[in-house]
Amino acid sequence: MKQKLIVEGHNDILVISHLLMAKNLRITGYNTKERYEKEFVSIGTGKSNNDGGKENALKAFKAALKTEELDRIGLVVDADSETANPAIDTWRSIRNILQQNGYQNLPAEPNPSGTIIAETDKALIGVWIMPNNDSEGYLEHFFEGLINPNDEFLEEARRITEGFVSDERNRFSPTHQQKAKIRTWLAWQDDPESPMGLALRDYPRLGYMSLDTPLVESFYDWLQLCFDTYVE
Amino acid sequence: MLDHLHIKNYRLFHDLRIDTLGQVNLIAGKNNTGKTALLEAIRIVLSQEDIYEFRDEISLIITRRGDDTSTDVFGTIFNDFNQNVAINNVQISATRPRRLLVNHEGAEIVNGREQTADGLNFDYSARERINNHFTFVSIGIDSVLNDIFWQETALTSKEDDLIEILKVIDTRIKRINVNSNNTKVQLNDYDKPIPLKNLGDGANRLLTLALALVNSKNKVLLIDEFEVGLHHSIQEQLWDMIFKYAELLNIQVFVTTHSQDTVQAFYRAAVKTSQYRAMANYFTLHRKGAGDVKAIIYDLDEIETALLTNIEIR
Repeated sequence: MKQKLIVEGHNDILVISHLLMAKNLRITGYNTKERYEKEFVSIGTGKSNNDGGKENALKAFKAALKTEELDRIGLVVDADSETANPAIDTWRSIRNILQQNGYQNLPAEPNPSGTIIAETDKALIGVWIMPNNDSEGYLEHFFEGLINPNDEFLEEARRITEGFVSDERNRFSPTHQQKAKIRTWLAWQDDPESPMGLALRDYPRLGYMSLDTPLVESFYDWLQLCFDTYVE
Repeated sequence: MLDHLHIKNYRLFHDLRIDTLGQVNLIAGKNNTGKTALLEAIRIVLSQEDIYEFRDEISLIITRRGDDTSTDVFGTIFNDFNQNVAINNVQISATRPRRLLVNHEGAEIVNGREQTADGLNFDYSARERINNHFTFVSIGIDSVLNDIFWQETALTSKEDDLIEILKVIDTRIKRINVNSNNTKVQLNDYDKPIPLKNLGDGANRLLTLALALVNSKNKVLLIDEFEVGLHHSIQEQLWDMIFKYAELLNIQVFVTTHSQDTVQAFYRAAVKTSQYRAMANYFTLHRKGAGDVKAIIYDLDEIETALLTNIEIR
């Protein structure tokens, strides 16, 4: 079975692979690191921009559909920002791509637990719109949902980053406030260099984060519906 | 120039339509998707004499547009068979499959010899590889083809073109003497002939491709399994040469490949000028399960996306 996960950037890959590892979940057929990284995942990379991005991820999604070689395709992209219905507007552009490729029974709105499209003789499609298939945001919003809600450092990181923005002392773009906040929080933990992926390996065990929140459970369910997986 | 192709009931093609052909076409696809058979079909549609040999033996409909020269020939030869003749649109249908081809020694190659659709070993005679309409370069090194083409090349301006192409493998190459299995070159600053094969494994394959290219003026050049024997590092430069001479000598090129490196080299050469962009055409032959083979055409932007994002399109 040929399977492919398309995401916007490297951080998405690291977070998702650490989530899989945390539950000993493996993607059938892609159980080595090399096959996982070289064949299973695709990052939306553009010619002039190596950081990926939604537009490039959607181009990759189109190309993956066109090949007709894949049995299952998963797509994880961020919700649109600056629109009234962030997740719905993102879903509409994905829906158009699917329609152009002959998919017929497509819901008007994304499923809050992650969307799965299964049609006869076509690749099974899974779509997850970060952070929760509903609100505006990106991976760092999803990540925040795993930190204990009453974590004192999280509260402090929020206060400080918000303060920079409200005082107009921020060097980062206001749309990146959440990225600044999460990295601030990460910098204050046991390993200040630890990125989001590694944090998921270490901090649930130390009690700073939890992989049992409803949002993560939905994400795990979606991953297992979208891909052929097994528990090692 | 062939501008589209429709193949019906030939080998594993039930009804294959390729609506867009370019001047330089790269064809990829997995095993058993019919890449070599497609080159054969093009050979047949281009070959007037061969059609007669094929008359009894195969079942095919090939539609051709944009070239009037062969229309009458098809019309007459296949008079007795199911046929449809329209203006600029010939359909040929012969319905008694028995033999596939007779090779130059007269031995029959029968259907039973077909092991894989890709791996048919036709023993093409020189006449079946070169005629007024096409040049066919099969897998491997072809010293017969080399010698025939060298006769046409030596001491003409084509020799300069040949040297230019050979510089892809070694920029020091100054002169060449092609002689079956003992081809020698002279390098700059070295006054002694050295065997071409000393320049690396790819040198002999490159020679065959280069000779075929400079001798295909106003013809169709068919190359099966481009990457065989060619190191990936020289493929892009060789594509540069293919585009250059295809344009210069009015050659329509069809190349098959298995290799992602070849797709990448083709892409990199094609995006260099707007002229090459317009000439380039890439498609894959795709077969789902035991279903029909179909062609999927990708534009250069889609190739770029696929190469950058690790999506396999070959």
